Amino acid sequence: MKSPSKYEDKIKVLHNESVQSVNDALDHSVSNLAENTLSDIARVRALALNQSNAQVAAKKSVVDTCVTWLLNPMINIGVPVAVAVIIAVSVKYVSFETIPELPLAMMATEVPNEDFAMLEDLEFVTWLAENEQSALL
Amino acid sequence: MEAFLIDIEKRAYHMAAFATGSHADALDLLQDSMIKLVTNYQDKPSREWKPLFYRILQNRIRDWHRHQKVRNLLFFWKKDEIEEWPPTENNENSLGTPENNLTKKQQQSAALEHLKQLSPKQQQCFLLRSWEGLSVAETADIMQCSRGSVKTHYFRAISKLRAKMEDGHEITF
Repeated sequence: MKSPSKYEDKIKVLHNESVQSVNDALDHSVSNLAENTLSDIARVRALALNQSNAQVAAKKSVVDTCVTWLLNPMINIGVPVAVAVIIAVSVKYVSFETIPELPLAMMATEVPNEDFAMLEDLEFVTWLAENEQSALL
Repeated sequence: MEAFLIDIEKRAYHMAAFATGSHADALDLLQDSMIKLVTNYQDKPSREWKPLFYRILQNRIRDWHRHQKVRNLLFFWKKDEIEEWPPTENNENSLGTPENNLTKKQQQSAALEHLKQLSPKQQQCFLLRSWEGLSVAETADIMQCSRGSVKTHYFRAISKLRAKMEDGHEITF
């Protein structure tokens, strides 16, 4: 591996008239650019700056619109009220398909197995009758 | 930002023009780079603008070379009109001088011609390191390669330039 000092030494040796003449030529070339080239470059710069300004203005206008909208008194009152109404409705909503409560007698006393079987049969017969009725309709 | 762009635009244009060899393409690359810098990096500290701008420009130049490669493969029968850049200077006056043909003007145009003959990477490395005076680390960051590669490109660029100048008897060592 080459040591940094060796590299620097080699560069120093080469970094002489040739490099200087190329740099001078480049500087000379830059300082003597044609008028139309200079105007083209200036136009490109103006275009870039205008485009960025337009983008910044567009961003700013979006933010301004949002801020104005949020600071609107109607929105300030309306939004919390609407939120409160939605919360209240969702909390107080009662489903019509609630599960019927079990008879107290069933919960309080011990029901024999035969009674359960009879109850299940009764439920089945009721369901069957309802189905038949709906089929007829 | 505007002052920075004014300060850097001519050199940047020169670099782009050297890489593309075309005035129109160089302007396009310059415009894209400026827009990208102003749009995305305007809020960065001003000392970071220069390396950022050159990095953007280098990326654009690389993309341009890729597009050209693909375009040449797809439309191999098409030959673009070769636009000469940098425009060769009219040396009629200097040729007529009796005492010395190697005038300063001629030497300068020859030096630019030698620079044009370097590979794109060597050319860009030389322009960034020697002309712009950027450090090895900054150049490596801009060119997105290792510091070792930058040193190699730079060394080869200088060696080639010296050899070409020796061949042309512009300098003697």
